[in-house]
Amino acid sequence: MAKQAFAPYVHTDITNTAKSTEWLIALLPMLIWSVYAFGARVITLCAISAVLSLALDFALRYFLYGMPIKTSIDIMTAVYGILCVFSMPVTVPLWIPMIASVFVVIAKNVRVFRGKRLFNPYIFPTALLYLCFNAKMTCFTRPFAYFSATSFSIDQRLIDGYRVISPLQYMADGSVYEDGVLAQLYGYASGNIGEIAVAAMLLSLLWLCIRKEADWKSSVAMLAPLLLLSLVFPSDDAESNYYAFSIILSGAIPFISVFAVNESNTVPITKNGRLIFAFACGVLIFLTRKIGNGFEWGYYIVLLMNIASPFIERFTKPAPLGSKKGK
Amino acid sequence: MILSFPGGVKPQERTRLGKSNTEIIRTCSAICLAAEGDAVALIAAGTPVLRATLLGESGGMPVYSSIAGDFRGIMELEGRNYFVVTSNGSEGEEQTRFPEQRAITELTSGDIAESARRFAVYEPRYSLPLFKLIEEASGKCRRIVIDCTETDPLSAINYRLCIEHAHELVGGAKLLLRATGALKCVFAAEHYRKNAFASILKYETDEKLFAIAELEEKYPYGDRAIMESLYLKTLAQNERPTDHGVLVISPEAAIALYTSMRDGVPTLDRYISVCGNGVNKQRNLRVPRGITIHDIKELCGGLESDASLIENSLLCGKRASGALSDATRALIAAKKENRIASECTSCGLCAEVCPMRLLPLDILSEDKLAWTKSCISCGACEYICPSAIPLLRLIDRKRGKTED
Repeated sequence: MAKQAFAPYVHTDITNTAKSTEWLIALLPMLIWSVYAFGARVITLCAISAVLSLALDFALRYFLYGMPIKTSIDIMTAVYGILCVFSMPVTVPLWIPMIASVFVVIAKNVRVFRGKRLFNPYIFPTALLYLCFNAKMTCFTRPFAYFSATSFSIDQRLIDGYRVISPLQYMADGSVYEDGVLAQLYGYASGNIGEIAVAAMLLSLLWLCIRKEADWKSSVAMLAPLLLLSLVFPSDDAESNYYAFSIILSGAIPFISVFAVNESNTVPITKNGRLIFAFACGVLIFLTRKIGNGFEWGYYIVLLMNIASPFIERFTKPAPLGSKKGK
Repeated sequence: MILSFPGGVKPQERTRLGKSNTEIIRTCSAICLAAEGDAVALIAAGTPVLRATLLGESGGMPVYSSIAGDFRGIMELEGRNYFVVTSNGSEGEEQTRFPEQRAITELTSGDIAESARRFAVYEPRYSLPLFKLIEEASGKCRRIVIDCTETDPLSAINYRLCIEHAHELVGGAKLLLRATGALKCVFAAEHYRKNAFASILKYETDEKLFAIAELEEKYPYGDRAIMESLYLKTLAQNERPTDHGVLVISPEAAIALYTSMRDGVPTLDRYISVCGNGVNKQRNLRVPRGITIHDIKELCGGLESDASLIENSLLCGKRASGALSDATRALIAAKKENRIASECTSCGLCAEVCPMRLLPLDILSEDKLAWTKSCISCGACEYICPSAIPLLRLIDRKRGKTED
């Protein structure tokens, strides 16, 4: 008799490749805006990171884990690579995305507790690069100052000519960004490649929500406490609502609230757990900004919550239907 | 209002059989009727039999031949005992006729249960004799639910029964109401089956006695989902709807009860849909009980090369072999899918579709697996898994089930 097959004999068409494609499509609006704002160098950076991540991940899975070719190619790695570049300034030398892609592949394949990833694969590299190459990673230039797409590293004197202080750096000094909240929303403020494009990011979120890849409730659960707390405890020398909106629009906050809280492998699997995760991220980011004056700590808080997520998952696990505990 | 239950998967395909009539098949090469441990043959092997000739007894119920031919005795096939009758080619009329003469109001619960036993009415839903269910529910049940949902989205047999046998269905429902002392009967079907509801309401418009329930197009619909959708009651493990005062019955049993009592002929036929993409001709069939799967394949013009017939549901059904079992309501021809499993991405879809509110992906990591007892093996998690992880098989293995 032929080899016995098992139920189910039918499956959905939604495979991991299809899901990754949704994410790639979701990145398009941000990518287009970034290229418009920072020039073709963005494409070079993204391409390096995406291709290298994909290749390294393939090598790891095919040669080390011995997976079949079909499952070794994981397009999601390219998405992670691009997302990782989105939290870098455009002036970084080309070896930075190369290092980042190594970290992406490491973070993606390190599975510790209950088969989950320990760290978010695109926040982890950024956080490490901030520690190692802080000067290179915080060197922001004015938008619409285009740099060469192909030069390996950009001359420091050229960078200094266009160098500006980002809204986040303003706030770290205790003042508020002058060009206004709307500039931050539309993406005319200076900052990291992808993180400035807040309006485009909302389009991405909309697409992901329509395709059921992300949940807007998580994003709201993160932004709402941040916004409310900033309104209640404003900065001394700024108008409270102006301050609050510029808090949630600056730096990595929109980026984290759209992408990091929806990265399924590093957040709790339960719906309530995901909301708790996002909420805790929001509160902790506010606390570090207010008390610790740590304005770039958003990344580290996400990593911290990543470690906590299996525990959140355990507490929010629903009781099986019909069991004594469950109703 | 469309009722629903938590979890479950939306099908990608709908049936194409909704418009094809049930075709009556009276002959087949052989039949195999399941024989319980205590089965006795009342006639000698080799005796020629007609349709509805009494062959013997099994499990407290009489066993009738469903084709005309020669009785071969009780035989063992693939580890199970069967009453086997081989055909002699003739269609042969039914032998016995004892129609019920009394009006429905004259019948007691015991009378109806006895008729269900005498006419060998089976409930395919639980693969139990109907008289046992009536005895269990009698005096205890307040509601009867006739579950007209399909076991698989590709099947349409329950829908066709509602269209073609609405009169008998309503009659059977009345008999069941009388037998159990229930106050109301609910017809439940997927919400887009408007014609089924209309055809039932044509025969019975008494709103005090009958109601219809429109359910969401979602699978799997079992007792649990029916109770959850209709009465918002969660069944505990090993609980049956009768414990909550509800008797859930398939339309086939209700129709069989009514027609046997009206005509005095035992239940000889089964209604099934043979559907799916792997079969050359999809059909709704009324076939002799115990027909062999081989005969069904021939009736449908054969299967495509790498397809096989699956019982009841593509999500959780087993491959059909030997004879048509009394629990089978649809046979779906499916081709083998070659999917390579990759690692879990914790997308959470399996937890979302689980009707038991479990986290199926825990099977990959956790040691404490007490929850696997709650799993009803519906297959929804594996259906939805984008990583193609064989979750159902893993859960079954952990539960210590031996696979066959």
